[in-house]
Amino acid sequence: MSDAALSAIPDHVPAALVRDFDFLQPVVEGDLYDWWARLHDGPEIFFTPRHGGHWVTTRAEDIGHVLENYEVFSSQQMTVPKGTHQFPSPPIMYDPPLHTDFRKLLAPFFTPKSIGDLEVKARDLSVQLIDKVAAKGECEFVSELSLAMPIGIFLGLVDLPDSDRLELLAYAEKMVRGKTHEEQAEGFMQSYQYLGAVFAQRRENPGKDILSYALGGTVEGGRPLTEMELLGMGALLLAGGLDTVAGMMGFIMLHLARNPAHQDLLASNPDLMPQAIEELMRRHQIANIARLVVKDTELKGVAMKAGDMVLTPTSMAGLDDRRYPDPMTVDFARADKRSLVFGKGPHQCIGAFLARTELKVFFAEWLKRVPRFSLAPGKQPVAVPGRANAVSYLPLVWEV
Amino acid sequence: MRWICLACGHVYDEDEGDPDHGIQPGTRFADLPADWDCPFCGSDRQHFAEEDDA
Repeated sequence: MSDAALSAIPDHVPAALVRDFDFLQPVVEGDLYDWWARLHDGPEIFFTPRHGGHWVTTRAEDIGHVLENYEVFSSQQMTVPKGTHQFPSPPIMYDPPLHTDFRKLLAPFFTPKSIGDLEVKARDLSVQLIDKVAAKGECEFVSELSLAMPIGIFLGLVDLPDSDRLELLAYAEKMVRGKTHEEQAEGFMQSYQYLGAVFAQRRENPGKDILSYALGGTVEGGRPLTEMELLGMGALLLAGGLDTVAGMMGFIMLHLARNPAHQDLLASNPDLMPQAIEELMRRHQIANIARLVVKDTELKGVAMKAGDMVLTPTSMAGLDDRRYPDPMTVDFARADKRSLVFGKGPHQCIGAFLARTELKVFFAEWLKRVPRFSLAPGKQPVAVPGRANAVSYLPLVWEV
Repeated sequence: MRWICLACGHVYDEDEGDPDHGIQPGTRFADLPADWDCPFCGSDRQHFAEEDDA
């Protein structure tokens, strides 16, 4: 049975709150974020029979509430349908207090001070990638740039060779974008196999990388991590760090290609970059993860039962007109650009500073090296929804 | 003392407070209200660390 097949509606779900919605549908007509925003025309919280049947929260306030309240909305299951992960991926699939131990273990690698060295690498890699295409006057941004940039940073973080890049990208693609439970599970299994061999090498010859550090780390008052925890955490770093940054780079580039005035503004005012990136991320949030209800509860008068799944599409949080005036407009001067782009609460993305750094560095270098650019005439960019929204095809041209 | 947001790098300086959000200069980080979030990115207080350590 396809994961997108219709499941029975549980008895506690009122018929008025049922809406057939498939957040993993492969093709969306028109603009992807217009497609997400149209859900605001219906019930604020609704239930879809797709992917095992799950709730969908559509407003920023409720999405933030579910993400923060782990005692009711647990991360033990964080995608639909339930049971996709064969092993849990710590720390994101653990709740506090165990989650906190894992988070502390990883934290030293993601502080602003630690990221300083990676910023240098990000800049070098950006320049190298951009210089490859600048003189051509055209590129397919996804395959030539946005997929290559974050994997280069990830390989540095885990000290793995660039020759493994394509293999790892393929695993990450399946883990995050697998269209079926089986395909997603296969991506995880392939990652576990790959990482198992890497951990075995690092046991013999530990380095200063994050994987070696995890091998020597302890949780729960002093026990080492189990093999399953190590593999799950490694797979998470791979899936979390690659697809998400690549996706965000794609959406930001798509916006800039359609808005030459914003290209000019940023090219002539590089100091605006941090706030521009923040606003572009607010407008193009990508993560569509889920939570497992572990206690019967009520959200805005909607009864949810233990065992229900709740999708929290941050894609919609940034488009909420109750939270942001004129939400579809990208305004670098917007007073309040704070968003849920990296989640909220204890599970907020540990790589947020690294991701912001990659984005700021890449777009600063791009605008220095490439003149005004646009979408290639006669070709259509492709953006798709998913566990993380993504741009899968983005042809650009400029004059040389 | 200065505290840095681990998610975006914004610095909360206790000497300066956060007057735009009603926090007076001299307010210690530990005394910030529970609902105070990073004024730049919205991260909550648990994602801040003393600047020298981060």
